[in-house]
Amino acid sequence: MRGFPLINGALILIALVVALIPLVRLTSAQRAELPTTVPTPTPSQGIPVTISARYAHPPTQLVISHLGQELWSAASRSEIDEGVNLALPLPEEGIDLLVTAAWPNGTPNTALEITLEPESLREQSKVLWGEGQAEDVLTFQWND
Amino acid sequence: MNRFVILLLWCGLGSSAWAELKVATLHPVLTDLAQHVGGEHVEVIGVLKPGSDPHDFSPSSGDIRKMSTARLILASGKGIEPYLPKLPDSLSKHQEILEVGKTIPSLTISEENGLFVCCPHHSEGSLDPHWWHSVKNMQRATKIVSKAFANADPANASAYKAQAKRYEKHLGTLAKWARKEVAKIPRNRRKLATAHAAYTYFCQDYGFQSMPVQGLTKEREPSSQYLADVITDLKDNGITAVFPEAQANPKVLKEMVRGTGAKIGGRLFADYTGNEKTTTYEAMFRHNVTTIVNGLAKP
Repeated sequence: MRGFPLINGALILIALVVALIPLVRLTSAQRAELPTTVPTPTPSQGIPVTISARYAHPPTQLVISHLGQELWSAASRSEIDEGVNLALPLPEEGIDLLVTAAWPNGTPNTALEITLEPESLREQSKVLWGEGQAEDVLTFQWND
Repeated sequence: MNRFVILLLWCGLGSSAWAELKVATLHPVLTDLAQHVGGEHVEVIGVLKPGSDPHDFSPSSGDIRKMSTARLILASGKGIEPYLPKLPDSLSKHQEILEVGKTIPSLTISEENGLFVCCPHHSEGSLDPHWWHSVKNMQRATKIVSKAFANADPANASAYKAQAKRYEKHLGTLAKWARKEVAKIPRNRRKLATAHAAYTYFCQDYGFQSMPVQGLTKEREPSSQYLADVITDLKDNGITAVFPEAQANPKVLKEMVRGTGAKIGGRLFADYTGNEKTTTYEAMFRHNVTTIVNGLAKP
């Protein structure tokens, strides 16, 4: 049952080479894809922001826009509870968000708290008050 | 004969000669405000007509005559009517002058509230008397006027209070509309280059920096050195639009546009309710907001 040591050694060597080929390809490909530096988004280009909403009475609809562009539209409680992650330009002067919300008939005057959590900046919350349907501009600033 | 009497009575009742209180106003914005608060109970005599400039105004003997029948005279205050300290000498003892802007918190024209591209600094350190460019201040003024009308004519106090409340609510809707409109302008582009340091209150309400620029006025033609400095300052501050006065020097404007690449925004109304299309406070305010948004929302 014992074979020639030379043949056995050659077989082990071949098996090792076969195993190494994909390993080498894998590691060299990874190295090629890795950027030399990780780009940091600047405030003017947009930085990652999480927007979430808290409420006393759940709205039936919530729309948040910035400079005429819709950022987030949620039409159910689960969508509103989920929040949204996006990139927003945050100049030091701050941003104005136009927030529109609707509540079911019979809901009393109630508060809807909108929170912005930008990466590397403190979170900020503003409140929209309304009854039935409400719309207002909420200003978020980080230079104060 | 009977018909004639009825006609006379109808004419009499229909005219404001039957109003319980006569009020004279020294600014068109106050004329509009007094009409909203007073309604049918007040006859309002607008001494300063729409389109007139309160900075250049001084009441004539004819104006004094018009004022003589008014129980109450409404002035803007904050120094915009330089003749005001002497006015009581021309009035009778039963007449009262109310400076509506007196108790409204003042804003000073300073580097803190604006950017200065003027050399020397335009009006720096003085009070901005144009308090009505803040809707919030107009709501304060509504309360002040309502109280004064109620004191002068207690029989109609509840009517003045109700009308004032209604107008305050209407102004609240106007302010909300303005916030929505101004939100179309990125906050880092809210630099208001105007001919006149008259928008400090507006700028504070809506997150603008005011930039009064001499040379956008009809009053003087700046030197070429001054113009060159202004062009550099406007470029350094990234100004995309300038808002001149109606009779600004076209040569100067052309030079500024050529040197900065900024566009000429429309005409703003600072001191008066404007032309035949903007004869109410609301129309003036809407005009100014729309003009500013059109000028600055897009680069």
